[in-house]
Amino acid sequence: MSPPVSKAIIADDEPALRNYLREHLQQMWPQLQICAEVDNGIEALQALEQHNADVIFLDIRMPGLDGMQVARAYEGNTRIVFVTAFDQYAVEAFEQHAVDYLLKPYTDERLQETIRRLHEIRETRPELAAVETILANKTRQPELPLRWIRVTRGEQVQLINVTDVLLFQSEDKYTSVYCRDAEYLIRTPLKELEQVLDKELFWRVHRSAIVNVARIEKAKRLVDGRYRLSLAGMDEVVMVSRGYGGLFRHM
Amino acid sequence: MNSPEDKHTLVTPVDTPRRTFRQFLLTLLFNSIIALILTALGGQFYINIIISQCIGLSIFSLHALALHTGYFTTRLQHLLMTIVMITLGAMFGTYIAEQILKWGYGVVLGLSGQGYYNSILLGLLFGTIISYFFYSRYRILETENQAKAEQLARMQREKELTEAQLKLFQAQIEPHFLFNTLANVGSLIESAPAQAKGMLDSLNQYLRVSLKRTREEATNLGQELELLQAYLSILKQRMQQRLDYSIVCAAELYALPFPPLLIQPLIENAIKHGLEPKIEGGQIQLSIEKNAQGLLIQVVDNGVGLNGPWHPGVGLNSVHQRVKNLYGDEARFEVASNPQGGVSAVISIPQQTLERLDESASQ
Repeated sequence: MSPPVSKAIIADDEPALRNYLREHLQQMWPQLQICAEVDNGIEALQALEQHNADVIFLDIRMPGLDGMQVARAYEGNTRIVFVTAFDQYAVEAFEQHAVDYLLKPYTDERLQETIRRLHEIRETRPELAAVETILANKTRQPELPLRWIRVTRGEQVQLINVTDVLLFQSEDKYTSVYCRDAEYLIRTPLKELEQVLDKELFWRVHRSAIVNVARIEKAKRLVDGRYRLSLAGMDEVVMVSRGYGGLFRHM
Repeated sequence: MNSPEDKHTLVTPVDTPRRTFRQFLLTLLFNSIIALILTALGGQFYINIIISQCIGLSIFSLHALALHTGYFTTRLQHLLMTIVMITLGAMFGTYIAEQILKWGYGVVLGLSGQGYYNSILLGLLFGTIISYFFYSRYRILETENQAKAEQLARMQREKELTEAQLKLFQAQIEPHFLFNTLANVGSLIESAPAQAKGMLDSLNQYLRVSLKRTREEATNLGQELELLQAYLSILKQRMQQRLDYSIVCAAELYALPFPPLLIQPLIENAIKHGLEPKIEGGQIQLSIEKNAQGLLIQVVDNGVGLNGPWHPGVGLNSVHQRVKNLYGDEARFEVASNPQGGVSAVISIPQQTLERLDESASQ
């Protein structure tokens, strides 16, 4: 038998949910002492390091650091019980990896079950790495193909939808993004953009140019067999190099 | 862009080697038929076929060469070029035929003066007929290509629309929001029943408007605002001092027909990606104005901004697509960070677009 757990931290950004958990824990587990209650991830981490608690009830969506980030940053022995509202990815991740978690709204019986497990199992350190990989794959990656581009103008960051872009042209160290009425510079090289853009909608027509096919107004064939493109809403023309001419031959 | 022809350049059938070869074979066939007709009218077949092949192939080659330069793009340029090439081809072909017959068969046609002109005139006549035949075939191909391109574009639009709508319905009531709110209600029932009832009333209103809206075709701005008011009020009760919000909209705009789920995803994004991650929380301001320029919808927050690890997702995509689908290219949807922090999402719909939709709706 392991020694009874006696100190707990509650981390949740919503006051009503903290109160509820505290009251129910006190009823069901009188020996437990709540040593800290915090409403964000940064304070949760501080409390973990400061109190050497036996268990932390950790909400996942929290300001500052989210619950997963807290768990990743913490290296001590406090057991972690994740608490989360329906979040399909998180639930799936936990189900696959025997981490103790409470799904909000939880019943008294389910909380009782968590308490029982805490008494029984000495080590409930979750396999964080595996859970994280699942969560990261599902939530953190930008959606592919790329739909939005983040551009900076002075202090301002702006999101540009790729369908509004006429042309990407590589410059020295930057890539120019031409829209109907504005031009931006981004740092992503053309080669990388080519990988993430929708290949049906964006064609690489030159070593230094990717065009939005939907915005091509005219493809003119020159004497030497190359094509010259005019784009709707842009005065400049784009040359198609010989190697890419095949794209237009059968249009 | 200047002439109507140019618009279709992209769908103009380009001569592939295979098509050119087929045209070459057809030309040979036509030349032979002409030779047969001429023979029927009088004269010897071998002489007629040499003359007609020479003239026909000359016209064909000159025309193909001129086309290959790519300089003749408009219909008028093409027509003029063809006339010139038929004339040149007829002259050149007649000369070649004369030489072949002279050196190969010892036949001296002695085409001089009138005879020479007759031969060229015949060449011109048949050249024009045959060119017209090729031109009609070309037009048919062009029309087919155009129809194909249009069909493709239409399919693409339809695909995008369905996709956007599908994602829209999926995104309608976010489970995380629903269950977290229920957890809050549950946790307040014993300790603070009045608060629990208040939150339940807001949730009730939110769900009712949400469900009602999915069944109705036409919705108005007032309904959308009722929904957002309920949504924000729930979040205010949950986040307490971490959230402040304001909704500014003149009452006379409530009756304005307005599609669902244009503003809601922007508010949800501001909460989820702007204010929830920020420790001290912040504010959301929704303002809707209508002036001479059109309708302006702004969702401004002072949350964590656009520099974080967050990537735009389904919500913003569907708003962007719906703005374009519903209001066309003149309507704008812009998302940018504010100088003082946070994000502004702005939808602007020009007055002309609103009037155009109004007219088509009343018809």
